[in-house]
Amino acid sequence: MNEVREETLPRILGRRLAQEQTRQQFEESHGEESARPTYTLRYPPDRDRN
Amino acid sequence: MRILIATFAGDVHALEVALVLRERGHEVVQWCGGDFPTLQSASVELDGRSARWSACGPELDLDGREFDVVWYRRSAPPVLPARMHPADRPVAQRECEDFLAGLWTLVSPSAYWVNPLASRARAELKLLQLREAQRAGLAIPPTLSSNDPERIRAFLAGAGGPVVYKAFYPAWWDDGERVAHLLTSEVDAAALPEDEVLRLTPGIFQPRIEKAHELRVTVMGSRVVTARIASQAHAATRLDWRARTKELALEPDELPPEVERGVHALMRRLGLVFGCLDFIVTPEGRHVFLEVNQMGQFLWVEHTNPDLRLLGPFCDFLLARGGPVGDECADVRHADWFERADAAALVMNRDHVRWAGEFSTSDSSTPNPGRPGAEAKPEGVSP
Repeated sequence: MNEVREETLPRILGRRLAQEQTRQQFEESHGEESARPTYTLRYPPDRDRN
Repeated sequence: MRILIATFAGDVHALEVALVLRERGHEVVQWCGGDFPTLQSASVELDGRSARWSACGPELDLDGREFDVVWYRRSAPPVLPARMHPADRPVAQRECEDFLAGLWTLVSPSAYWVNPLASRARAELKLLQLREAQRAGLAIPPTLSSNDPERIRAFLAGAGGPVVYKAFYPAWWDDGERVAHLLTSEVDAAALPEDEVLRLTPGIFQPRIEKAHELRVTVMGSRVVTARIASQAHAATRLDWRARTKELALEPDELPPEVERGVHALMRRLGLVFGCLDFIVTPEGRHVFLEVNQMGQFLWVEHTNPDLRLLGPFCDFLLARGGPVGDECADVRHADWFERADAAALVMNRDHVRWAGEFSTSDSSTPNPGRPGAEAKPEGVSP
């Protein structure tokens, strides 16, 4: 059976349109380390899971 | 007053509110959803006509007693341990989630809920939000939501101008070094993948609406706090202000009376008592509703501009329990509390199971070791 290489699989529209940045650029855009609790005071990821 | 907050480890919003309310003599219990099942035990017993429930774990010992207020802030989902048979994981996860969903329906039915459980789930549906906003008399963008390639291509061709694509949920793809962040994005026919891939993910397509500025409207019962977002001041934030929040300027603003009436009508239709709404204001002054986040973040608004008071009003909103709002927390300012909340969050992260959120996805099938994530057994804590 041929193995499917994941990097050859086409990506969904959302992934094609997503803005790529380095982690440093991403955090600079929001002025806060994304791992810190206070990150949510800079960037509001709004949707809840429920 | 006795207040229960459904939350997750490191939730600054919940911590700040809990610190304020405790200082004023109220009893506040923070229930970290991610501690279940490794650090928490919970039970429901039903017999005859009675139902009893209990839950215990770190800083949690509940026996079914009523609360005055339940703030269902953001409960982390159950977090299973890393060491577990992978074939059992989805089964256990499903069982945990179903058990907890049932348990929550028994919790404090006479309390004032922010927001009511049944309304929460319904209000998360973006298409329902748009439909109810129409019915509430609010302007919305013309919208196609579909996975039908033919309909999507026709919508793009017939829009007469640029079209934006929105997902139903935020998403990050993360390969450890680079982050791909899905925001509202302009889309044209050339950007679409082939039809068999396009149909795999329904999306929301709307004409790009010209903006003068945007509004973030936080509704707490009858009180409305409106923040004007200068999203057009920077190229990076013109399409979606979430792309760069560092220099985002917020100023106090007000809604026109007819729009405010529409907002309250929408909240009633969705059964919400709290919500964060996003609007575009066009150069002609037209207010266009985009969405409501039934448990949106709100302290970032006061963090950005201290004149936009949210922490004190939110605490008074909880304490009012749907009745006349008092001024017990009128002097409360976020600037006086967030450092304490930040310190408490770091302690909480140490003592509870952490949850990384569900919107971040490794961008390969290889687990990404570089990202903070769910840890089923925090250091120094024994289940």
